[in-house]
Amino acid sequence: MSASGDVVDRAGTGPTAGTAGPAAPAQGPVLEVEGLTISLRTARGLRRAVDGISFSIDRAEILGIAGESGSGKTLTALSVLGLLPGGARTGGSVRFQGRELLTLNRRQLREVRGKQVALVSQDPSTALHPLLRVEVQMTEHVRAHLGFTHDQARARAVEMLEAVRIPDPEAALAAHPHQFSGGMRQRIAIAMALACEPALILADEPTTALDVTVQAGILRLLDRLRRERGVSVMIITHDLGVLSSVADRICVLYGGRMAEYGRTGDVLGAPRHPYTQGLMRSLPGASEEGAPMVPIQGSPPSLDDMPAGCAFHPRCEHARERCRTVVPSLRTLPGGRGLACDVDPFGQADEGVAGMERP
Amino acid sequence: MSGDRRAVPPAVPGAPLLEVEAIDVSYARHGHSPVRAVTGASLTVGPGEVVGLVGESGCGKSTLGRAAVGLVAPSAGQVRYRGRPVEVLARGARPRWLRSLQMVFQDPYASLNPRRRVGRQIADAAALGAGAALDGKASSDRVGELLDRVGLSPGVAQRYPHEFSGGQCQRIAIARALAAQPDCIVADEPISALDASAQAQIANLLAGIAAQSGLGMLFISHDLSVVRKIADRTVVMYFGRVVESGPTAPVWARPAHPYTRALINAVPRAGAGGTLPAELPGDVPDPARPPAGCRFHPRCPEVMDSCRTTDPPGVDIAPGWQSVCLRAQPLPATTTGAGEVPGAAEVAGRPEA
Amino acid sequence: MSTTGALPLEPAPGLGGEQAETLTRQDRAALRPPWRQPLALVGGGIILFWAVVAIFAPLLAPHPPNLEFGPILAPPSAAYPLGTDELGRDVLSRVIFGARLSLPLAALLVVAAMSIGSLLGAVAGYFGGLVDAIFMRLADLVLAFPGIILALAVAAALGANLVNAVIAVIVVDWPQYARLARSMVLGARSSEYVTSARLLGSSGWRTMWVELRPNIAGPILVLGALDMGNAVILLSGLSFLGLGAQPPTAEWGAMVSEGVANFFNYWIGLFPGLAILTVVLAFNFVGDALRDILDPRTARMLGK
Ligand SMILES: Nc1ncnc2c1ncn2[C@@H]1O[C@H](COP(=O)(O)OP(=O)(O)OP(=O)(O)O)[C@@H](O)[C@H]1O
Ligand SMILES: Nc1ncnc2c1ncn2[C@@H]1O[C@H](COP(=O)(O)OP(=O)(O)OP(=O)(O)O)[C@@H](O)[C@H]1O
Ligand code: SF4
Ligand code: SF4
Ligand SMILES: [Mg+2]
Ligand SMILES: [Mg+2]
Repeated sequence: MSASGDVVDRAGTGPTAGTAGPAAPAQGPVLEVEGLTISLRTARGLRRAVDGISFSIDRAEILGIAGESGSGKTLTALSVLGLLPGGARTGGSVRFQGRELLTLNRRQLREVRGKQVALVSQDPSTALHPLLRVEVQMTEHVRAHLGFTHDQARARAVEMLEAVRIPDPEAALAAHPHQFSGGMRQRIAIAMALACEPALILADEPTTALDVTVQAGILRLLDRLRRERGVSVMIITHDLGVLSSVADRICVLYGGRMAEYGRTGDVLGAPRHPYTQGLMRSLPGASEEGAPMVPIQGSPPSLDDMPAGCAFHPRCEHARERCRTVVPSLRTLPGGRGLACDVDPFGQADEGVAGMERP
Repeated sequence: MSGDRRAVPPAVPGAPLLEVEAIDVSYARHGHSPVRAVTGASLTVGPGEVVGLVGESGCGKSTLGRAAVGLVAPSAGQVRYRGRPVEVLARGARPRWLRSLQMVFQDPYASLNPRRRVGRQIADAAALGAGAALDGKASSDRVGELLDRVGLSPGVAQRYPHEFSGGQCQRIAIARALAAQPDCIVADEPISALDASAQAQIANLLAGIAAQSGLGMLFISHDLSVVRKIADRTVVMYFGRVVESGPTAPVWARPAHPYTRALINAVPRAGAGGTLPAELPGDVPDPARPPAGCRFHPRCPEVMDSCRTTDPPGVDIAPGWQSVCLRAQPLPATTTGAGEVPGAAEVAGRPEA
Repeated sequence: MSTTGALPLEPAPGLGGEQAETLTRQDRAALRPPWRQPLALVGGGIILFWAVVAIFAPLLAPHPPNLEFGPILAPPSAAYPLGTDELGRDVLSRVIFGARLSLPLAALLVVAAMSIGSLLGAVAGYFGGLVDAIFMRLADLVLAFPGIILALAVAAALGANLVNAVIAVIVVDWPQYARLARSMVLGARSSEYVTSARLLGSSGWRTMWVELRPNIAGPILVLGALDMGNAVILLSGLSFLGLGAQPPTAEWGAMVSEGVANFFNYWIGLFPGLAILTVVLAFNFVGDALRDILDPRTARMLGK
């Protein structure tokens, strides 16, 4: 155990009770996504980029979405905000605090977005306007959404900058974004997202552009927010190390479909899907000392040539004949796990589901 | 063929392959004082050796790598390749003997010409870099051979870069560098822009090439776990300075510099089971106003009073292992073997999968 | 806050803000190939028409262009569809033969201006320093004058004939190519593929010719297409002012000029004027469509 690492109590009954912050309805998940499909208009016609994704996020929970480039992670997040690219068609349902989002009109969506759901994107420069002082950006946002006065908004901005550990928040408010390092900009973007006390933060690769020391700061910040303020977080990344350290549950996507989901420890500790298994094996720490890493062969499919059947079959060492034609169904396993592999080569024999054939 | 390239013999026989000696690099800025991106940095790369260069964003890793191949001019110190000073790239063509010192870049799409077939680009690289202007058949054979070496089918030579994934483009960029029959490659974050599975593929490929053809490699990365996996030696930079360098295994097992420790502890691990990586508070200082004394002192968890005033000298922890810290102590001569350092497991604290 | 019962399997109407909708329109325009854009088709058709007319002029024209044989100043009629001028020449035949001059000369001039301009611009952008300063100040100097005025001055200085008019227009026209080539070379020069080529031992000239040329050719050709119309106007403008084609050459600009002299016999000036108009519009339509298929960033460099 490294000297300075914290162990977060995951077995407990949830976050510290009675925290201040946005109150989600007492029961039920904050976000529920069911059978979400997203089709995009491309040069070659309508293509299904997200196909039947379902998950839910509880209050104060951190859900990790893992998957390679093009697996539909960002689109899933954007669908919650109603920010999908033009011409996108959606199906299924996305419920936020019990309210269906996919059928909201533009004005209703705008209210939800920014106030109750906040997006932190991979590139902090997209969230911050380069020519406006930080103060203007942070207070405008709060005043527009919460109807605060200027002084209230300013006080809130200072409070949020303190929460993300920006030294000297007053000075930071007077500065322009370019005067901060990448890590600080990302923290300011998070502070901005927090200012309206959202119930849910969608963090799309919040640390991919940062180096490890700054990344550690951001991950700790997200973890603290959920513990102290009961915020729910959906964190998108392809770095399993990041997920393993902060996420309570994870959902692995491949080719726009769900490959596997479950509690982080279960999924990463004993991956059942060959893709998750392959990702784990390809990590530098997973192979023998001195031996080369064991990558998954091949490369992820693109929207234009999505393989038939199981999208992973061209790269899967366990693929059978039927994998080429039959899309494996997502089935529920004990312990709140889900798996979309009909072959299930890593299944425990005693569960007796491995051999089950499904149409 | 490649004969004329090697016709220039190394001026200093027995010199290391690539030698960066105490270089300073500054960038002029319009209307501001220049940024000193690298200060007094040294490293060497031997044949068949993979040297990992790590450090936080903006600490000068790329600048050091670019100076090593002659893309930027050091304002002090010297870079030597095979014992001869590396010429800074000017208007004319790069001298032949230097063309076996090659570079691979971070963004795989940007490093290939978008409007030229990848086969042509590799063939040109062979003609220019290795002086092997081959005719049609021999040239396409050579291209096929190189593509095969990086794990692509020779049939893809007719395609354009946008028809490939990021990982495949990086393979092509590597094939192009290999076409010049390099003896040394500087790879600047070659896997940072890639997907999880492509990262391992490319890292393996590069490590394999170094091992098989005995070429030296400077592998710049902020992914410490990959550096640990493939580098023979690790060089840690902080704010323009090399703060620690030494054989990878012992450096990881018991890092001698507080910054190295902070970096290692900040790496998130799969299988961490909710162990949050450790934070290193504070930000990289303003390059225009470097802190006095040890440059790391404003953020150092082990700072002492003397650190604020004294610029720490390099301390030899063991042969080939240096740390630039006032607290660094040489190890007793008996405990220098890699992996046999007492207490290694506790310090590193990384349960192996 | 009621829960919606039915799952929205149809496209959700609320999705996609204003932002998204404008995106769709752009996407649609960008995705459609030029041969499916009506204006580009019309433009292409007109260019093809004039090309055919120019090539087969002797077969198509009812009379030789300079033969003074008919009634003087006859209005359009069955015998003379576009009428005759004050020397009794058939206007239709002269318009048809005019295509033989205007189109090839405009093309020649654009190709020359494009070659000179992009070479100078690329060299300036690539090597920078003094070369850049000299070439680009020269370009600025030219651009500081209104095109037609400078062309007038040059043509007047060289002497009034068609060849000199072409040279004058080239002098006026090259800087825009130089600017575009320079800005594109500047953008590409520091890109990693150029750095890689340089590290492999590519010389400056080889880098420009082999690596950069294919990357800057597209926008420059589009600019050339857009410029054709402009070239036709400038050239006929000079002829109109008496500094280009000399009588009795059948040239559109010169014919419009004769039309002005015979103001009340509208047909003398109108039909060559229409010929100029259609050619200019056609090249603009085609150029615009080509610009749309370039990527947006380079398209912005082309202005508009
Ligand atoms: N605006 C768009 N128009 C067309 N296709 C799109 C658009 N946005 C995304 N796509 C496609 O949809 C698929 C899923 O995209 P998405 O951005 O969700 O992937 P991702 O998992 O976030 O990948 P990354 O790790 O690269 O961010 C990809 O194949 C992508 O090319
Ligand atoms: N062309 C340039 N002009 C001016 N300053 C520069 C230039 N390139 C780099 N710098 C500065 O030099 C310093 C070192 O930059 P460098 O790119 O070498 O860092 P790095 O370690 O490679 O970082 P990263 O991990 O983000 O790539 C930074 O402060 C950077 O802002
Ligand atoms: S369904 Fe078949 S191809 Fe897909 S992951 Fe399972 S075994 Fe592999
Ligand atoms: S010299 Fe002092 S401040 Fe610098 S790293 Fe060592 S202990 Fe820390
Ligand atoms: Mg994404
Ligand atoms: Mg860099």
